[in-house]
Amino acid sequence: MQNKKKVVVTGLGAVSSIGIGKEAYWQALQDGKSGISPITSFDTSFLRYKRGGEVKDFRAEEYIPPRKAKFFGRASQMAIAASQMALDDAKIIQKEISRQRFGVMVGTTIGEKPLEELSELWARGNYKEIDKKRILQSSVNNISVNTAVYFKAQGDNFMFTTACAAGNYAIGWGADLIANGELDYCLAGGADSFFYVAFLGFQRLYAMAPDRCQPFDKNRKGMMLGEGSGMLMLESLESAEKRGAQIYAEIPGYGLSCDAFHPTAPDVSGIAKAMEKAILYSGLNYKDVDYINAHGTGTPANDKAECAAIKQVFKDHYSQVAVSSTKSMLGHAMGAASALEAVACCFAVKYDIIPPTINFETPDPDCDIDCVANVSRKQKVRVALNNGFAFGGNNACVAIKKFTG
Amino acid sequence: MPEKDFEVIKKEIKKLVAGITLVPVEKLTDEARFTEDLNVDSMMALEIVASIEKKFKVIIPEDDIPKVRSLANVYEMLEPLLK
Amino acid sequence: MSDNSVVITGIGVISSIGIGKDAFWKSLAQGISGIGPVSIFDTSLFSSHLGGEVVGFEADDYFDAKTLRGFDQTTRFLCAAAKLALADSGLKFDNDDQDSAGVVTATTFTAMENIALFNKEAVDDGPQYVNPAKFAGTTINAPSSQVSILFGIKGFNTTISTGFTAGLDALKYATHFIRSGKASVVLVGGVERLAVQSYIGFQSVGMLAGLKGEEILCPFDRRRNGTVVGEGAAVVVIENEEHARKRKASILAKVKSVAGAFDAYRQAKYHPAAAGLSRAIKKALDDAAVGKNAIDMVSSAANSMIDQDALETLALKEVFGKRAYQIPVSAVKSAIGELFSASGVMQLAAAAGALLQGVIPQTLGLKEKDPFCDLDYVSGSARKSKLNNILINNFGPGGNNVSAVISRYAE
Repeated sequence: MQNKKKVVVTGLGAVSSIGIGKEAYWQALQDGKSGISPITSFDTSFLRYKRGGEVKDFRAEEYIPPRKAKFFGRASQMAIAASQMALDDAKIIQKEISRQRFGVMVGTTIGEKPLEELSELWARGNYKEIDKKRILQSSVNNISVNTAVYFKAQGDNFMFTTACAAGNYAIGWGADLIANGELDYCLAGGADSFFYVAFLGFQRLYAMAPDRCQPFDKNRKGMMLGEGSGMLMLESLESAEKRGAQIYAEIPGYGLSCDAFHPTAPDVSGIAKAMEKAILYSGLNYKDVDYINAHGTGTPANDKAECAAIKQVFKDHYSQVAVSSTKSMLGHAMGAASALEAVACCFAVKYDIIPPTINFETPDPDCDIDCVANVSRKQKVRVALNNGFAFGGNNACVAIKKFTG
Repeated sequence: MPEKDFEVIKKEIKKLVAGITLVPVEKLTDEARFTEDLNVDSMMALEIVASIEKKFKVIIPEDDIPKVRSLANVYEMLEPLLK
Repeated sequence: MSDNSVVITGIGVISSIGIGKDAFWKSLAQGISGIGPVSIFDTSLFSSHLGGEVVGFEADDYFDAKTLRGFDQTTRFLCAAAKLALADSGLKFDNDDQDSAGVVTATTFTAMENIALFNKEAVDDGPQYVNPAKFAGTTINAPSSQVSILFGIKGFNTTISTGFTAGLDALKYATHFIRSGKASVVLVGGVERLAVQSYIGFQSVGMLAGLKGEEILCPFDRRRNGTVVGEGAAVVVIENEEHARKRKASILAKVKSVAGAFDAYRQAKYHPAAAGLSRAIKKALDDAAVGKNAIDMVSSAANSMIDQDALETLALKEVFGKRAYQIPVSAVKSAIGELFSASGVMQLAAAAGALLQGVIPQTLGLKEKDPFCDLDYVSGSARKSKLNNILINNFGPGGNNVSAVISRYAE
């Protein structure tokens, strides 16, 4: 067994429906601000429900030179912007780091907007209108490639497409490569932009709520879609200490599991295992966990299964663990979700503030966890677990620990 | 709607359901319960509803969907929507 | 100290040159090509017409009707390959070991067809009438998840979509989970499906042969002017060596190393000196502790694209120096076409066969020499040779480069 290096988070970036930039994002989380609004970026007249966590007022040119920005699809733009934020936050001067030991890991569900455009053109038989440049930007792994090219990161480069949990897979793998000494730095996170196929699909499954997302509430009607990007600057502790970097948190480990049950429905034991492994591989005990940023989509099925799993893992101690779902504010940003939630967890362990589950009105006996209802809470957070569960039972739980030096 | 036409429609529905559940048409009784007797899970049930909606160009109200438990329920639900 | 060595204990292949690893290996040894006119969609309006279609695959040989109903062709390919690989390995997962096994699948373009068809239904029949059962298939991780559901594999399930290199990326991911003790067995899969939507895309960006020259698949040849796309799936079972030996498994090869490097050069462009590929190769050799002189064969990523083949040649010369001229370089894609994310796992399957059978597959189609490609590409016919260490390369335009070293297994 190799000697594992410690992995820390030295920079954060967020492009979200409640705030663009880590400060705006964190403030909004503390305030319990909702990012759900009527969608304006595409024609919703054919949709039954027309609201979502849209990232409004994101201007790529504020982060990326316009001549470069115009080539990228929206997801790449958001990922690069969030990455720039994380890099700047970490005060990394690109010229001074070894590019070959700098990697990029990204998670997504659908990938790039041009793919949607292409698919639309194909559906209408308009082959001749296909623009070569747009095709080049439609491959799902464009996000990780564009980001690495932009930041000249020449280390490992991965694209995870494990849907709703993809961000966690990217963060976990980035941490693995730093822990085993292959990389010193890694931009890791997720990005997804609105994809109307997702709106059609979730609505057709009757999984979507009309107005607001109410995780854990007895009358919850379903999930809502969001978009955005969250990126973490992961670094070896050695490197961070050498250059006197600020440290948000440590990533001591993560747990994966697969339900092997059903293509869309969640399984309690599968989810529980992901959390157990995160705790185990981090060398922790379940009583060390003070906060869980839940997957908490707000669907009847997920929240019930997740709460049952939490009870299984935390046993009689479960009521002592604060559990909140920031999807209540952001909606479900798909591949970006667990990454944006990881950013929230980093803030939580650093500043001992837990963001709330908003829109909570009526307790559900099947979800009798402490859901930090409606108002954020000042509370010591030693360890946070970040849950992400995707279609196909692809589960990933990342442990985020207070850095105590 | 004339009785005869609806008999034809019932046959079409049976065919649809047979195609989704993989239970042969002859074995599909009007009373057979989707979940308990025909091994239909929640996704399949949704598929049945969706394929009927698409074929007959109707929308079955969301609140009525849990009431669709057998072919007999489907006929009951569909008849007024087709008028 | 146990080093948790990684070995290969099972292989399953669904390809255009054979179904099952034995047929696949036999075809490679005989120089059979899987390339022909595309039959699954109409190419009459396109400038390219060839593809490497899977033939002789009957999904109902592997699964019952109920199971198949939910499966698109991509899922059928992948799950059939997984079934073959597991049968080959002798592994079955019951309660005790479901958690110590995982699945990692390389696939990138797969969901495009499902997304497009889902979209088409919305356009043709109205958005309110899309089929809910088809929605899960629009996510790229759907086929991989079905492998877990079918075979009860619960340790983890990951889908990697880094395009050309996803296959070896998946191998790297998998070997890490074994070496770190988190898993004893991992199924490494790769799958891509020939679909009109992606075909049009590749053609439009000038990747396919036939636009600027004769439509032929001829890696390293002077006449090459683009690639031919293929489809298929391969699943390779990798396992902790001790675990394999304990259960008296038949061990096919040893995985020594997998290393990646990224050319942060320019959008969709190759690095002109193949710097990243050279780095990946060097790192793979170092990590494997295998010297330049110990490599007996290269399984190249050559695919008949002009720059691709020249750059691999350049990288091999850069790393091996004069020795490069003595190492046989074989291009599996010359037989099956460019399978993107599935290529790496196909190459892995082919390399394991080469080690076991002592036969280096021929690079098909090479007739006219290109002065810039002057290494030994094993043209003409397959070659019998005792092999110990094979270098496998994956790369493409875009910047990703990954190399792996696998070795003959000696007890």
